[in-house]
Amino acid sequence: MKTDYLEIDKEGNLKKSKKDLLRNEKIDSPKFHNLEAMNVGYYVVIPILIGIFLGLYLDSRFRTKPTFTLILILLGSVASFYNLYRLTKK
Amino acid sequence: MSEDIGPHISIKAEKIFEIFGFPVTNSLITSIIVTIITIILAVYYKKQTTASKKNGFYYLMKFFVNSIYEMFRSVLGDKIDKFFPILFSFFFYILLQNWFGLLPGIGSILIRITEGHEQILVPLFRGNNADLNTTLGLALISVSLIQYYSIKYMGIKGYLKKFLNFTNPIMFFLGILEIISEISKVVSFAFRLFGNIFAGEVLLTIIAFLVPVLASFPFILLEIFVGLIQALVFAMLTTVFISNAIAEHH
Repeated sequence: MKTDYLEIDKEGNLKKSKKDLLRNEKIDSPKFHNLEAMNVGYYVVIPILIGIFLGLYLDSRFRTKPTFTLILILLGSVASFYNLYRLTKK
Repeated sequence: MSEDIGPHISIKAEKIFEIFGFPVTNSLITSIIVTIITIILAVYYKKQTTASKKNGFYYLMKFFVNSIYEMFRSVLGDKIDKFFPILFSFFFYILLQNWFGLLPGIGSILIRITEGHEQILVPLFRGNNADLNTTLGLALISVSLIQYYSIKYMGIKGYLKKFLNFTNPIMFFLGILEIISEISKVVSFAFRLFGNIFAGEVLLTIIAFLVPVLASFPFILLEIFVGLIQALVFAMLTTVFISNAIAEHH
């Protein structure tokens, strides 16, 4: 296993890390995990915006106003609600 | 043309000159300066760690590094030793950029350039995070790193299972929504940093225009605080996303 990583001890000095860093284990301190909630405003708005602009582009490309826009706005709204759901699930 | 009174605010960085058709904007000049400062500070700190007689700068930096390390370790656990260099680089570079944008002369030294047929005055330096290109670049690096470490820890199969899942139609639909959610991570990183720093620059410009003496002072203190918080938030969110990406889902 790789051992060329460094760690910082209590006094703030560097030393060679002895830990096995590639093990795929769960991290068990959810202290800051709800910091992701800072993104909640963006998570709600951005999928809808992506839907609108992609829809407008596709409509002007294929001359099918307003089919794609409406479908993608709907999809974007669902995506933003899914984002919220995932955020509360954690 | 350039005799108009009042602050001139431009939402995009202005081009100062070109090198072989590559436009050099005023925010790019600031970015190069800040990058050089970051490298110099890092090399100097590295040199101080082995020096026999250490100065105050070393202990100040050590305090910084140590407290950020402890903070990130509470999120990442033991894996912090692997991720700390890149996370602290994010923090330190963004912090220096935010604070460099507050120095006198940034945004206030004007030079005359020719654009089309007329001559205009543009600032020589511009706070680099007040340019959307920079923050978008940082956000793309951050989100690409998250995807990279996710593949590395979960395997390419486990990574793709999050986005492409053909077990039933609902899971397939949720996979598409996951892709949208990754895109919104990039946009939220980029626009949060850009919005906060650009708003600060506009606020300082307007206040200094309205009341020339002393009124900017509390706002500059506020902007120093905002710069620290935004740098911390950027690095912290990257940490949280990485720790979510490399942990087993069940």
